[in-house]
Amino acid sequence: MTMLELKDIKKRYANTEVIHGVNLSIEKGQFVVIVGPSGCGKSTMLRMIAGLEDISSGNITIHGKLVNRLPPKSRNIAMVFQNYALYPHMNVYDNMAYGLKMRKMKKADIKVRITKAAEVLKLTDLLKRRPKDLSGGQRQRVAMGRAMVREPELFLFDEPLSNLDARLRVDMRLEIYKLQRELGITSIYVTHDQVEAMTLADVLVVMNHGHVEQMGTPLEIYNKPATQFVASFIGSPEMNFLDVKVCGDGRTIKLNDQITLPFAGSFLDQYERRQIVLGIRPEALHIAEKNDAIQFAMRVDLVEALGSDTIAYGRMVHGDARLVVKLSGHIRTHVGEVLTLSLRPSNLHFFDKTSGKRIIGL
Amino acid sequence: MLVDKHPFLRVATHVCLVVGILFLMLPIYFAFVASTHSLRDLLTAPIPFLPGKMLFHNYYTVLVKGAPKLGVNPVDRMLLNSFIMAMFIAVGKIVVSILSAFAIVYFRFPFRKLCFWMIFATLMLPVQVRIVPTFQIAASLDLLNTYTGLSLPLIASATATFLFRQCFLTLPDELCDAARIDGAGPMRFFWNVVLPLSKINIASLFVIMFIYGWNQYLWPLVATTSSKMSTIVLSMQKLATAADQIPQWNYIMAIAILALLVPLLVVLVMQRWFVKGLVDSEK
Amino acid sequence: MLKRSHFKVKTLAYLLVLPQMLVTVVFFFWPALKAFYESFFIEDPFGIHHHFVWFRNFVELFHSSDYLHSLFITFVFSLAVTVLTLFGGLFFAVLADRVTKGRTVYQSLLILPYAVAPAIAGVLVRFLFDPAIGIFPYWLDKIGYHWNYNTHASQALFLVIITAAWQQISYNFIFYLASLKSLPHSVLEAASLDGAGPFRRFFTITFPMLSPITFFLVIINMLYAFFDTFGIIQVMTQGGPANATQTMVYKVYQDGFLGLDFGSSSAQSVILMLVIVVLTVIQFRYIEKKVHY
Repeated sequence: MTMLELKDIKKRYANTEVIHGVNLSIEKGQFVVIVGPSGCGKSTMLRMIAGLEDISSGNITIHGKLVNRLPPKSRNIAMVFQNYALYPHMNVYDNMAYGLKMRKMKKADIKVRITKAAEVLKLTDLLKRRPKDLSGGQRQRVAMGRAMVREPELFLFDEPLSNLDARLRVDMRLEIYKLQRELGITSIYVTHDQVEAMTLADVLVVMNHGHVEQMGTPLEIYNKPATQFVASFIGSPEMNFLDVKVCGDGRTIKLNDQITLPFAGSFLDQYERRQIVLGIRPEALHIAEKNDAIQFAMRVDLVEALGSDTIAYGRMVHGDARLVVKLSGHIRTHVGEVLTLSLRPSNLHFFDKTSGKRIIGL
Repeated sequence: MLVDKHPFLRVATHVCLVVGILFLMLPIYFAFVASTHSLRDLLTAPIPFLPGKMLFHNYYTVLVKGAPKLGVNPVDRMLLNSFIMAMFIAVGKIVVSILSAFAIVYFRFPFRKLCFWMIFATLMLPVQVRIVPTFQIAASLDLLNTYTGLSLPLIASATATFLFRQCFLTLPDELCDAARIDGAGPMRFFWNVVLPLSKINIASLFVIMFIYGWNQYLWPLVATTSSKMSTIVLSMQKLATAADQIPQWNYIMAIAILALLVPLLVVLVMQRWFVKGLVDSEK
Repeated sequence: MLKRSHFKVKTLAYLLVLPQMLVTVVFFFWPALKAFYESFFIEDPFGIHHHFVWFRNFVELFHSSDYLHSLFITFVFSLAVTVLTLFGGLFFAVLADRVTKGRTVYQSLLILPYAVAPAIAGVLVRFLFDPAIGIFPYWLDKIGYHWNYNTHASQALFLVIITAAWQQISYNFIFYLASLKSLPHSVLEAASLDGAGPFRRFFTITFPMLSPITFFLVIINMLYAFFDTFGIIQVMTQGGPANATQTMVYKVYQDGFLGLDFGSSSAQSVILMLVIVVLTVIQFRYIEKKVHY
């Protein structure tokens, strides 16, 4: 059932519109991740849902009730901040208890809730400590504990892991995932890290410049990106984009003077003789085998041997277009080597050059 | 720290410091010495260099008994007046400034900027500049010879407001976000979060304002006509300018020492806060 | 500046600023406006006649040799006090910054004069220089110099100057010390490696780097000399002898409270307000930007 609905939300600062009409519908228990580059408006969206910022126009409804003008404390939400926002002069226990005290909960009940949350988050020994005596990971757990004990209807996360080191980030990601599944509380999570986005989300919302570019499951978005931006943002290393020309009644794609690809679908005929953008993920390219129909050569300029994968950066021999290919870790290559690569037509993505939108069909 | 390669310079530094400080302490030292002698000792030139035997007698006279025939009234009442005035001013300034700084930083309301500039403008209106009209207004409000009259005109302090405003601006934004989500209203937020985090600034400001209040001279001079409301710093005026008689230097010095003792102790004991407050309030 | 996360409850905001606004309006703006208003009138001491005279009060002031004299005295006084306190404060700060042993003791003693009220400072120094029993006149007499500041104008001025300087030195000391502590050590170390000795380093590097704080202190010292020295003058010389120590602020008091010439006193107040405005504008415009700790 729909828990949270955003209808045509717009936000203006002075005379500049920063959010241009966002529509979102979130079901109970879902883990929704809003992902996008810095400045795309995702944090602003979160703050509007929280009630920390006003909406310029549009409606927010929670369980069917209009909450536009409702202050944060009346929306039954809890939030975990990027900088934890712990009260520096209170110890861990008091930090977690503050929200409950404001809601006039009895001391005994508060104690029960906090003890339970502390156990789950492994904070029991730290209850008397002050934030300045805690590590980054511990502080983050206290911030989550503070949100948990409120038992809210909606959990909001504002880039909570950005300030942690890489190793800790992975561990905490796992904890957040498990916690959310256990508690089943609807969560909205904002991040610019696409790995977090892909691993945590039930539903992924990709935002750019105040617009929602695409909304769907992570795999949907990975496999069928709706715009060139989404295709480039999700997936690492970034998708390869090549300017190609459509010929032969929409049956052939010309990469350059040397290489043409036959095209089995039929939706490209309206793009006859025009330029479109072809996208192919680095992981979708592979070393050509003898029988592969499509083959082309790439000269390697740079190699990143990561152990699990080998990433080669280079240029196509014919036409000089830049390419990145992700190969299995045991394949070795070196700078200057010319690799013969192939691809499967089903892994191709096509985008309109002007609008950036996916050309539907595949 | 640069290592001093010239031991001579190091010794010279200490010597200069000690000599300089001795000169600086001269007035206070001699005042103390004078307060422990009889007037006769002081009138025979040169004045004594070492403390005398009249310490208890002089201070007791000055504090409790008084020597009315010589024009010296007991200063216990005046010490009390000074203390009340200084407390009134210090506490008043802090309360008034911290509330308005909180409003200006954390609330959006019409005329917010106007309020800010009005407060700023008071920096250009020290009491000396508005002394005559302020006196007239205080008189018309029936505030002369009252504690309120002594203190109220001095408590709208721009420096205190600016200091608190600065302090609040450095508080992380998310603290307020978290408190709003936790369900705290503005005053709860102020009481539970802002105030505890401003404790150090309040302490240092208190020290400075207390001394400022205690040492006030011009305003008490015009705002009080009754000797019952006189402050101890003000009492200097009558004694030192008595043209008819020989000044009772021993008693005058005892009163002077008493007058400077309280702020002196405050500065010594709360030194770190005092220095911090001075430096911060000028930023 | 408004915080990004803020409240919109207007009534509460007004209640919070109300106390300060009230006191500000009643005891700051109203008197200031009154002074402004009165400066355009002549009123006799009994309040019977009240004539609007445009700028006559101001014109008279600038033609009055008394007023011009007090302008001159104020100028000399504030210049002398400013220079003395600046150098005294810097001197002590540099010394205190160099020592490690006993620094807290030195520091504690050096800030004591700040705690002494200007009026009290006046009494203390007066005791030392009293023509009848003061220790300094006694010694000066021994070497043939006759000291009586009650009759010698320049001696009186000298006396109030050194008293004011004595009282204000602590303030300069504190600020210079704080600035010295926050100077980047790397610059000084680089200079040392370049071969500059301690005195060289001080004059070519340290002192120039202190120039923002020096400008700041110049303004502060001038404001102090103008306004906070009333107590000193009242207690020591009452503006005399023959107006030798009558600063502008003292004259405002004398003309207003003793002479009951409200028009003239108000006009003088207005002029003083202009002085402060200029000094404050200079302070905030050009200096605040450069001073950082």
